[in-house]
Amino acid sequence: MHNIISIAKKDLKGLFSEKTLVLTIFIQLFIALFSSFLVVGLTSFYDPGSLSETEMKSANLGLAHRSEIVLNSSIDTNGSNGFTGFNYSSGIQPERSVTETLLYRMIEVGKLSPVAYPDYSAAGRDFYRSKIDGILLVPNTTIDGSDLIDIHIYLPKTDLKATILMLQLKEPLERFEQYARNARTARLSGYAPIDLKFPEEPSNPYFEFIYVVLIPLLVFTPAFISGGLIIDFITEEFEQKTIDLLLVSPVTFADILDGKILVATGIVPVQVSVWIALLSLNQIPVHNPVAILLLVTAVTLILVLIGVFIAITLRNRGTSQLFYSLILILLFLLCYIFQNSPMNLVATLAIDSPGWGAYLVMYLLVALFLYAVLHRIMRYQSRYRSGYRRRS
Amino acid sequence: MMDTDINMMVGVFTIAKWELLRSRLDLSTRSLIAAGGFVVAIAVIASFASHSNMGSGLYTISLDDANLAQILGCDDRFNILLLGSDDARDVYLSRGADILIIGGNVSVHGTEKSVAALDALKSTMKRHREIMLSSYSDLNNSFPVWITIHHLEREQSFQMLASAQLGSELDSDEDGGVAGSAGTGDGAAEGLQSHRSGEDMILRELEQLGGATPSETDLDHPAPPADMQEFRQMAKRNFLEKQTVATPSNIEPPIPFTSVIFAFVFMFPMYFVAQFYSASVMNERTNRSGEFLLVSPLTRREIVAGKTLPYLIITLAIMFVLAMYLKYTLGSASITEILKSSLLIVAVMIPVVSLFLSFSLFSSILARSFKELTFVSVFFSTIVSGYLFFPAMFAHIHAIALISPMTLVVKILTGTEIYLSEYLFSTVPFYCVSIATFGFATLIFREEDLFTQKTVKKKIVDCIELFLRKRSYLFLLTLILIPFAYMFELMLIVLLFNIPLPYSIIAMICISALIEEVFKSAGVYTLSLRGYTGKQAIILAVLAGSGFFVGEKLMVLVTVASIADSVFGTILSMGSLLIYPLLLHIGCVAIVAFGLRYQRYSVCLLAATAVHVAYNFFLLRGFVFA
Repeated sequence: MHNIISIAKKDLKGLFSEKTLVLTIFIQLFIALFSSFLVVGLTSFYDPGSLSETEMKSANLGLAHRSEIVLNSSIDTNGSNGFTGFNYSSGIQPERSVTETLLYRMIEVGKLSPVAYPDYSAAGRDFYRSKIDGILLVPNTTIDGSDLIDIHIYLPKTDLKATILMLQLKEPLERFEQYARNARTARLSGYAPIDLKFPEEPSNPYFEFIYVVLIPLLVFTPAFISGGLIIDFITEEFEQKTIDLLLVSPVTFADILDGKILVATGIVPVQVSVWIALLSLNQIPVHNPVAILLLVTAVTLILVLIGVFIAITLRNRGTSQLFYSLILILLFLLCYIFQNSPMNLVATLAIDSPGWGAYLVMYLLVALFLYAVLHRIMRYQSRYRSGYRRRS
Repeated sequence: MMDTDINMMVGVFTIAKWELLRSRLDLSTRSLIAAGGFVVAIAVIASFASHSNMGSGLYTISLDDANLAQILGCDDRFNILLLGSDDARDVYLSRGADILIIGGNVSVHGTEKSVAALDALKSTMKRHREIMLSSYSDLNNSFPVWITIHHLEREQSFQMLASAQLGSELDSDEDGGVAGSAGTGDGAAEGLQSHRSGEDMILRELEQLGGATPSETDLDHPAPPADMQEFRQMAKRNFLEKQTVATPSNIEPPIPFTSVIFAFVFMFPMYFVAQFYSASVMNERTNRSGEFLLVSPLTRREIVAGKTLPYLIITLAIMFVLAMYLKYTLGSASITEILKSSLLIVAVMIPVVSLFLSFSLFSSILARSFKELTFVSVFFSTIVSGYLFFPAMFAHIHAIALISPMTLVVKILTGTEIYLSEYLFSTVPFYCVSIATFGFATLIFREEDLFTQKTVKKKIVDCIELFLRKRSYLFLLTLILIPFAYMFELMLIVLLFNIPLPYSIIAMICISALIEEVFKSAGVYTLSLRGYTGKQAIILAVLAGSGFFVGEKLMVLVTVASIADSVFGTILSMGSLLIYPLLLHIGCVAIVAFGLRYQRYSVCLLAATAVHVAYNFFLLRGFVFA
């Protein structure tokens, strides 16, 4: 035991003197910042609500009609009714202007402020002068007719505003689609839409990403790094031939490995608890921290032992790291496919959903089993017992 | 002259041959087969991994409707509790479920998790509706509304240009940060002459497309499907294709995750090759076998080139095969087209690969042990991959995406044409940085640095000192260091993106000022270790400051001007403010140069940064205090 501790101390000292730990933390910080950039950046794209008002108003949409109908006037004639009051089958209004108005109104009640144009050429001119950033051509089709309602949208190429506009338009267009469907699906035989009444609740678009992707990634990055670390610990001794020196001292090869495993595994729970604490400070509560720490330690031990197996068979740093990364990718992919993968368990634990106990125990057992296997190999293979001899 | 060239080539090839032979010995046949097996296994699993199980069993729903339970059961995110109405309500009230559905009424707790579950429920129901409707053969009644998106060319309101006019001192990167976080601002230059033709083009296109009825539109412009059969085929279509026709519910904003996948596919081989490369250099150091190389009649340049060449060629070969494969699977028929695009992709990847290799070389010389090497190289590759990933996500969306060469790769793969100016814009920083890094690494590829346990800082000082053979080289040094500062600052944009707006700009200004000051004064610091007089300090400050200034402006010209149309506009707008930034740069270096005689380097650096920050704040006061 004393031997193991002294080997562990030696390697830990090396970690601190070379500032590798500082770099590890840097890498993790980078990953955290980078992935939160992804969350904030992408979800604010996907979710129109998270964009600020000013950004939204900066993108303007023009609506135009192919024929020479002035959109403004058609609104004025129908405006007092409000669009919910429209009767799409009403014969009084020319049908195409009703379509047009309905779409216009649906867009208008959203966050965009559309501009109406009498014809497409006027809209095109303003589009080029950057007064508007998109043109929506309203079709001449009736809502309750049987033709497809074909809407053309013109957007500037490679411009962020095109994306913002499309995101803003999605909701009104969807509502318009539902409206048209309500009128038309009655003709489908046996179609009965399921109607659920949803309560109105403001939601957090980042929630699922944070718990399903970000937290598992943050929690397991130290574990991935530790697996690579132990390969360096071991192959370094082989390649610099310091292993010979260690083995003439009273420590056994198993002691050396145990010491290194202790360091590589031990530093992970420390880092993870810091992550959990930081997340909680950021108002992201992580439930079941103790269980998460246990699970992470088990997974780290598994990865570290995989690293040990690779390193003592290959003894060359380059190839060992290559194989370790290949295995890591393989495991990562498996995590992606299988339910109850460690990644998913961390998500379930952090979000406080039931059904993780048995799997936690399973991973702990796998880790212990691998550790036992390692020690069995150590005991029965003479080359590890009676000192290390170089392979010829 | 000819003769020495040939000799050099021979030397390079000898080293390259050795390197290849040696590394083959490292990888025995058995491990090669095993590695191949792993790659195949990964590919097989990846092809099955279409459906993610991440996040399964997140939410619990208690309900009394068996039909609904069956629908929701298809979504892994839900745990379904099908109970009688009273039991279901009891479970929900005792917080055993996040959502309760009884008689078509959905109730949620006020918690974040419960609301997130509600969102998930809504999206699942929507998906179900779409699937149900697509089972009918009557397209006109089940999917009545169709959206066709057309993209029109319009002079881009390129924010870099706009801000360059505002504050010429700031380099383009800082402006990019401002623009990137603000996302607004319209700087479309007014020029009636050029407007006319572009406007006509738009009108013609509108007339041609809008005037025709949908059925008349030609094949170039996709139209809504004619019947259900066609609709189903469309739904199955390659996910890489850019979406132009869809129903409102199925329309996705143009955020191509595919480009991120491409970037990953292409960067992956680089990580491995760079690993082997740095391990090989490290081996020369730890086994001291590099000493034999150094005493051989070969020059250091030949040794470094020879060691690098095999890795560079292998990586590019892998890229070439990957590009051919991807282009082929993306449905490109003719062989010449595939070959042409693949060669183009390799041309785009050359600077990226050299950057990776140069960083690995430099870090394997700096590192004192394998562990340190792993971390330094992981550190570098995360930073470089961040730089490559982030902008590529906005391919097809915004011109700013071009700062990453990966955007070009995505464009080539999707069959979009790329221009020489775009190539220059995204690859020039990579070329500059990698050539400079190789140069610096070659300088310290010598016994004193390879086989001693000098600290990282000492080695960096060594290589600067070796570079500064004459004082006047200081001008050149700061000029060469510009692309490094540029890339650092681009990275900052990524990292600071998610901080709320005014703070992100303030942080950006402060940190980028610090970065610039570090790069500017690195040479002066090195020289100060030898000592200089007060008069020399002025000369040094002028040299370093003007070097940085010239480099900065060159960088802006090559990158920004090549992408924004009007080169002359940029230069003209800069003219009036040229003198102040020059003075600022010289002044800041002067602070360090004089300060170093009395104070520590860090103190001088902070003082210079403070001055720089004050200047930047003054220029950007409109942005910051708005």
